[in-house]
Amino acid sequence: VNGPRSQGRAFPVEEFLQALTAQLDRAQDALALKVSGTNRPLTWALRDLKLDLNVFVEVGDSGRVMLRSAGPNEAGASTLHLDLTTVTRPMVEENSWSFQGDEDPRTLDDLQGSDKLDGESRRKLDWLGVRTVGQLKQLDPGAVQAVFGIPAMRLQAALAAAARPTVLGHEVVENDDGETLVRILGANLTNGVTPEVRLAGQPVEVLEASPRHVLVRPPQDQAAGQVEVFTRGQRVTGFFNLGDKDGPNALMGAVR
Amino acid sequence: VRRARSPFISLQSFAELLAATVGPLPLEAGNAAVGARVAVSALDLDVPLEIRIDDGAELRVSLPRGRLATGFDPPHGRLAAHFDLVAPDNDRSAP
Repeated sequence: VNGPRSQGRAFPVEEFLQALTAQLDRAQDALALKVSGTNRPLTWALRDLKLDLNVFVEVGDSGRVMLRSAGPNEAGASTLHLDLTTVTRPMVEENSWSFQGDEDPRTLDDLQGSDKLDGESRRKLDWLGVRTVGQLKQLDPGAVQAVFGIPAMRLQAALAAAARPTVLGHEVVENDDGETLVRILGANLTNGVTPEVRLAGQPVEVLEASPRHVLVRPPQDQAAGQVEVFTRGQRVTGFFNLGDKDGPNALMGAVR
Repeated sequence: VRRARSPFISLQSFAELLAATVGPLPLEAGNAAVGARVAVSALDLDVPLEIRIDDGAELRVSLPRGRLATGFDPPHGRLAAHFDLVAPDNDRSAP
């Protein structure tokens, strides 16, 4: 009669930690509100938090570590000790990967075609903290194969795919004179040599060029059409529309 | 037909519990007129806690419901938290 009660489902540990930190933010906001109406403008600041949780730690089908809280009469639960402390903005900035500074911030999912990494390799790279193509390019395939078991050939194929030029989208901008320009967004758009660009079939002037973007002056008689970038001996394409003035517009290009 | 009562029915959000436990505490007592004034500067909270990871991976909790533990209660975890009383504008460690 008093056997173990059927328990709830298990959750990935990273989801639990994200939910927990969101709750701590909410608690801090609530505490700040409660004291803000007093004469002394002080607030409780949570500095350190320790939690002991009775949980069952499981590994899901996809290799994710899952947590399930222990219920009444359930024997064999683990005790998970969590210590959380205040992390200041400078510490976050110092210890986090700067996606803005990433030379190629595409996600690994953006790699197309047969060279796309399989799920098992993706998961191992995720454990390594590799989430962008820029981070992938910094890996030594031989060392990764030896330590993590991802075949070097597979990584080299992914690196070759990552090195191909790609048009990912465009944005319409204005210069200081109010002139409308088109910024083509992508990856590997130049290797130091200014690429040749055509909009709607017409060659256009390239004002700036970097691996991640190319700024061009669009033809006066074309408001939309195909983008063609010739770089590194390859032609990559996308589309542009001068009516798109609400930030970047993602349009996948193709390598031909 | 009576349905079995869920043992988790009265759990609350962890954020709510923190705010509800710490928020109402007085920050100071006394004044110059009575000759002494005491102000709180920090708070350490150390309590057993009934814990469940619920939908959305949300942590839902309850302080112990009574002195008598039965086999129908989930095992208790523990919460230890340290709070400082600060002026938000001068809190250099704030994220």
